[in-house]
Amino acid sequence: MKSMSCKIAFFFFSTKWACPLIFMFITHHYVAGQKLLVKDVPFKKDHEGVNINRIYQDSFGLLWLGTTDGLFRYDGNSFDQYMLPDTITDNIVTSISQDGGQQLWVGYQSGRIAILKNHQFQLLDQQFRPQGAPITDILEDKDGIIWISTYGEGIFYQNGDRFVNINLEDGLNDNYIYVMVEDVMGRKWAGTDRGIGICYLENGKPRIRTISVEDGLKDNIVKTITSDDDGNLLIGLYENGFCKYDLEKGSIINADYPSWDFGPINDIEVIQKNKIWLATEREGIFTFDFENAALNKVTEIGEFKNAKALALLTDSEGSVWFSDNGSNLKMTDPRFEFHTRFNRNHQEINSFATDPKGNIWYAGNQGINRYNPNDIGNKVTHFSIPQLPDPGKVISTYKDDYGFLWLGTYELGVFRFDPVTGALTNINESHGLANNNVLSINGHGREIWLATLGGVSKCSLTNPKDPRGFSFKFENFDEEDGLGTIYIYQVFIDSKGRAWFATHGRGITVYENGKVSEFGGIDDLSGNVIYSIAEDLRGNIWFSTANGELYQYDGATFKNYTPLIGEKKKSILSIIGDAYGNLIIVFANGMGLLDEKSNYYDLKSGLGTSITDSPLNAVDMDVNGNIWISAQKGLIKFNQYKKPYESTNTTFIDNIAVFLEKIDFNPGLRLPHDQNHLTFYCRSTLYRNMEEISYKYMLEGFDLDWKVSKDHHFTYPKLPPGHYSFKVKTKLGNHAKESNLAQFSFTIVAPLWQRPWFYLTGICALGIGLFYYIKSREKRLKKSERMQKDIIEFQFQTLKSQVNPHFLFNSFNTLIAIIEENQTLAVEYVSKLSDFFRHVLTYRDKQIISLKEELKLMNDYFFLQQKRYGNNFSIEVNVSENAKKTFIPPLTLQLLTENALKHNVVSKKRTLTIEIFDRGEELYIKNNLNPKNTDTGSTGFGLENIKNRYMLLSNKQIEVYRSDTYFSVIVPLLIKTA
Amino acid sequence: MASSIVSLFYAWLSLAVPQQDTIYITKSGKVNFRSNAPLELIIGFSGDLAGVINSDKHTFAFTISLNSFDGFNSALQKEHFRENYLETHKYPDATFQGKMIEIIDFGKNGDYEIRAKGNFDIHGVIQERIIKCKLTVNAQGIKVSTRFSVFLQDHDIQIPKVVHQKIAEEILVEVEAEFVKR
Repeated sequence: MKSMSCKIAFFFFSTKWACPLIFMFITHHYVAGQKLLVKDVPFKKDHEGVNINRIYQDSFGLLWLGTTDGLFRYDGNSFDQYMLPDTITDNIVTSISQDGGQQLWVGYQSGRIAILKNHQFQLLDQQFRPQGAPITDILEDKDGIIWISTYGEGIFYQNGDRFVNINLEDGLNDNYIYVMVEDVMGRKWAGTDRGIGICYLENGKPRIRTISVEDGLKDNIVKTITSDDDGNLLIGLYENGFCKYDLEKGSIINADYPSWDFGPINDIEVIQKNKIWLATEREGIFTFDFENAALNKVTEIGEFKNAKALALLTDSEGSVWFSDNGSNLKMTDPRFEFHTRFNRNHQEINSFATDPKGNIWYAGNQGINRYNPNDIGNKVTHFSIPQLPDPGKVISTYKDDYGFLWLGTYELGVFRFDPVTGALTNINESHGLANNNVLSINGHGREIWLATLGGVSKCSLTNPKDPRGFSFKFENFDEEDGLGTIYIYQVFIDSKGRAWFATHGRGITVYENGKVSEFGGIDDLSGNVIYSIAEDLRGNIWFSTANGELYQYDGATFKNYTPLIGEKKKSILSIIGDAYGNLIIVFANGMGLLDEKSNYYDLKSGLGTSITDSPLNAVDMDVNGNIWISAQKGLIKFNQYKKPYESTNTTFIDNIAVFLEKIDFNPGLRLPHDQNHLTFYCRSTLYRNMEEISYKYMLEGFDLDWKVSKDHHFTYPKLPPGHYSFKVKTKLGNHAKESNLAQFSFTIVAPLWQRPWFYLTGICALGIGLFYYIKSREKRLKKSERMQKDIIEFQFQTLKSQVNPHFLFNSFNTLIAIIEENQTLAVEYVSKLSDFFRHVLTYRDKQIISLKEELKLMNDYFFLQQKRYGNNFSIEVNVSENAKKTFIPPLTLQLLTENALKHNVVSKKRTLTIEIFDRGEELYIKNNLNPKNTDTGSTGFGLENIKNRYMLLSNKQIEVYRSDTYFSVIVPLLIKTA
Repeated sequence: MASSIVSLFYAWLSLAVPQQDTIYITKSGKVNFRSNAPLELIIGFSGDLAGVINSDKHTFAFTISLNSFDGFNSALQKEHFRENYLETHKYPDATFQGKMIEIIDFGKNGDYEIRAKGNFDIHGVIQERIIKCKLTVNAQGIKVSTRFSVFLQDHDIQIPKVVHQKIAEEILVEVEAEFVKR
């Protein structure tokens, strides 16, 4: 500090105005002045007249609605209805739960139970026979045993394959069970018409304890029981409201409310420690806080007013869902409470301060108002101080460590107010304040820092509690002292006692070890207009700029967090660190939360559009860790009660379709090659920020990289065969962390002709085929070879037989006889003989000749023989013209005729007649039988030769019949094929 | 007509109640109803309420023939009441049977406030009701008195638009019956 230009002054003030305290209004009513942003979930639109009895969230985060018209699944976009497979009328769902295997158990009013797995219902009728009594609860206990409570038949528990009944006769209070829950000790608490029955198994035997009016219960009819995080049980009654059961002490704690006039309690949900929500029969939804006994009605407006509230649920995101008997389904984010009702004049609250009692202090018309959000009666206390300026002029408020309220104004300096005495002191430039426009006040012990339009004033209180008044001294800083500029938007005192200043255009400056200094060399911030400063639980200092940038200073370096908030720069009005290490950011049109792990969450959906006109730095954290924000002519309370704030969306593959037809899919799915058009339907539920969800997906084995889409289904039209793994995850907005990874592996099987074993078999088959081809070719060759041989043999034999000396000798003898008697005939005989030999020579090379030719040949032969045997030998030919066109191996008939002559006696007494005729495709050669006594002996050549030739020519065979009187041979007639 | 119902009722009684239980009965309980509509007040009454209380099991059953109601402002109105609204040819009786929520000592004389929970059947539509009753136990038996409402809508009783202003949506019912030990 170059020049000590601090103005130090001593003043003594006496109390100028001591004003009577006037209480504006005192109301005794159950309704506190806070509201929630309740959203209508569009169920009623398409399902008028259908009431939602149960709301349930499964382990995937999906919501299930048990209604009077079946089971519905709500994924944030649509309601999918699930009906029992065998009935369309008895679909009134009375209970929903999930077992360890993530199967959904659904109980019906008809007493039936169905299990939903892979979108299919399986009825439990076999194991659990419906008794007709409605199923009120199903739970799988710690030991994996299923317990079922019914309305009229008591309780059932699983014992092996069957269910064992516990009822009145076993000592249960009553058979009408409204609700059944499991406590931390594994006991089942059953709410009945006659108190609570606590059931458990001891050595496999059921044991029952009861709690009733005698034990302090306010009513015996117990309609609902819920367990809280500490294991205590909250009990909703038919009459007289509700109570809590302290499990450790084993006693009932009755809630502190004057009387209960809202009818039976149908459901209770624990929202946070000591804070519950109630669904009432007569007046809709209430909240109750055990700490301050504050009972609030949530549903004051619209259709839900005075409705019969049926079901309540807190989902994994902390939102509360509820339904009524008018088909309504509503949802709200209970972290946001809108406090507007207390502000009757709709006055702008430019600034406020919280005190250790949880009160909120702000400038009111002609005075100061104290709002106690926790007190049912004294909502707003007004301290009338006519001397105070118009509340619009009060722009900063601070409650110091001694209980005094400091109000910074435009143009009038600062006012210090003592709530106990009502004393008011004005401090302004004349007392040494740097400037009369006080934009921000902060402090620490006896040090009060005031940010003004003329620099910063440090006010040191010397004796703050002096009953006669108080004294102080000022120390002022301006740009000369290292402040950078005299326009300071906010002064912030951190946990180390340092004072940080948000400057206009000079970034941030800090007061440390008695001097103010700029952060030299920090180029990032030096040119910036800083609006707001905050500190998180780890001691990091955060800064936000007028153009929506956010920086963190960890004691050594600055880090820009702006990209985390979003691409679009939003004007940041205020930032504040909460009790859980998060940084809360207030924008002109919403709110955000940045957690310790640098995950960013948009909180807009719980807020709606309510934040629109929040003044700069009008935020504060109360003694309970709630963040208060001034907005919309009232206050918003942000209740970050769950630590840590979890992004709970689970991503999963809901359905797979082949050619848009949904299939039953199981791990290791194999699809044929032509079933290669796949669609993956994925889901990720984050009901608050549904529109922010984007999917990242990739088909491993096909896609090379991740793809991003807002769609939740992805189609792959023509997948080639192969192994694939479909992977999908989601993220919220652009910068939040990603969800879990869901994946599904499958195979598209290659077609037959593309599989290796097919090749192998193909090659084998080809080999075998080739082998057989070669084999058969060899066989054929051998056959024709043999045939050739046979023909040669035949030719040889025929020639041999024709030139056999007997034939010639006989022929010549016959010729000699003819020459002498008839020379003309002799010439004919010789010419026939010559013809015969010529024909034999012509035909011997041929395999077949026509029957006509064969008959001619045989006729020649017959002529020659007939001259020898005369009329004792005759041939009767009776062959049709068609048969003459058929074929026959050459010399067949001649051979057979020769055979007949050879083996039979031919004399006048025993004539030989050969008949030749055709029957169908066969030729009959038949002769009467007069066997020679001394057979010349058959060489067997003739018949054998014919047989062999037929075998080679065709598959037809000759047949030989022999009786006592005749001998016949049937030879097939061949049709010549080209 | 009424006697046949009562005899049926006793048949039920003998089947449902083991002999050793203590039974209180009435055959002539009084029931009256009021329909207080903007344009007309209708009052009806009957003395034919039959009832039984099992004091050991804390169960009860009541039945009344709806044709036994008298009163009304005209004979035609009575006719309409029976035939058009309650359709007594189809649903001749109203019944209420169930159990007592509160367990009381019937051996001790005195006044008791109890809740009777059971199925209330009128016009063929059954509604589960919890109805507060006053019980006076004395040497003679048990005196039961109660007042409750029946909403026509709950029991699907249709009133033509024309007479809407003459018949109340909510019918007030008063019951007084003296039970004696059987």
